[in-house]
Amino acid sequence: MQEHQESGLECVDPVVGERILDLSAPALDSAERTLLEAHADVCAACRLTLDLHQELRSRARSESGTTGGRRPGSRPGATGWAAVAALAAGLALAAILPPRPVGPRIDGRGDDTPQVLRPVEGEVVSAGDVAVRWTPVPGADRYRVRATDPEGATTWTGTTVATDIRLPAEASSHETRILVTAEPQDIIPPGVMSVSYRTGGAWDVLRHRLLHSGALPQALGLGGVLLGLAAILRRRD
Amino acid sequence: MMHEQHHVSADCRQYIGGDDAAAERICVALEPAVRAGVTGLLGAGDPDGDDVVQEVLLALLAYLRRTGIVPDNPAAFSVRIARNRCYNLGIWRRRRRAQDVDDHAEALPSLAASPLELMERDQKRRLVDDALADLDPPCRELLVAVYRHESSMEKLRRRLGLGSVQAVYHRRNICLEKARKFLNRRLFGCRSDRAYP
Repeated sequence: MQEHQESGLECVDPVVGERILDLSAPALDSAERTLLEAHADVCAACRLTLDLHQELRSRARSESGTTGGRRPGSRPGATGWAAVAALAAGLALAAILPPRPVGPRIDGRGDDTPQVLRPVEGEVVSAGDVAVRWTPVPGADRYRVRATDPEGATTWTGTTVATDIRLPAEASSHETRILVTAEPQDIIPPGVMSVSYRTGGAWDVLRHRLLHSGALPQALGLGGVLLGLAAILRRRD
Repeated sequence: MMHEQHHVSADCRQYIGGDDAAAERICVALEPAVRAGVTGLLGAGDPDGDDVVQEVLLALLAYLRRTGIVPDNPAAFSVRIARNRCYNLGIWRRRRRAQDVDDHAEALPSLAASPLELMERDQKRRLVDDALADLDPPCRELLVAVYRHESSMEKLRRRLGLGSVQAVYHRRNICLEKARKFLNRRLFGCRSDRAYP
């Protein structure tokens, strides 16, 4: 082959060739499409332009397919997935971890002070058997548990050598206070281990968990909402 | 010369109108110019020279019937097709020589194949990367925004301060044309640039 005299491919009809990328427009007049397609079939220069266009477009598709990048109107992007993950983690932790106490606590403060662990103060639990758990009191032979209604009338009593006990359904009214005392009675002051809780349906329990979950689940939930908003705004651009 | 072109254009119109005999007159009239263009690039004794000339003339006839449009200058139109064909043939031959396999002995590449189609995937990717890197920053950013980030044309219109999205498409087309010219230079330009294929 002899040396090339010019700089390579040249459009065979520049007046038509300058419109060649219109072929990628879906709403193209059929006569114009026929002309451009026929032009592309004989013009290697324009074929190169189209191929370049296709190459760049297919790269974007393969990148978004492998990295989860954003594609308008398709799957959520990385931000969207992060939002879903944060919300899911927040909900899971809210369901697993105990909620924050609500209202004043009567029991003692500090790590060494005996206290009721569950239910926490003001917690809404499902109607039925209620599990009560507390911290062990050094020197206690056994524990006495008393449930009272809002008027202070005793609805149930029980004793155990363990640090938990299950209250039957009839022990709980819509609002119940639990008092745990240790024996011998002089080990802890009376009323130190006390908590009140309410019973409700599944929706009441869920709402309470969401409203009074700990700092970590709430931070994850808030982060998820913010990320979700950011993902929505990006998709609208 | 002008007179001859007039005749060829008239024959082209007759061929479009259904006169098959006009095809012979068109080929007779254009064959010398096409052959000269092919010989100028491939050399007089090239074994594929005759095939290229025939392909080009047949392609012109097909184009006329398909579009119903006569090019302003049928001779120049045909010679450009022929020259492009020869350039692509050069790339195809170099690739065959580099691979030295019989798998490619079957047929010549299609008449208007893009040079990128004739390359290995990695070569193609490198070449396009180089073309993007060679662009001026505004063009590069625009193509990245359009293709990689898939930004909407309306968003780009606002960002660029343009009056219509058609203006964005126009600017994108100009940038693609710059990239195409780079590829042209790289593939067919001076010898020192011939890193590909």
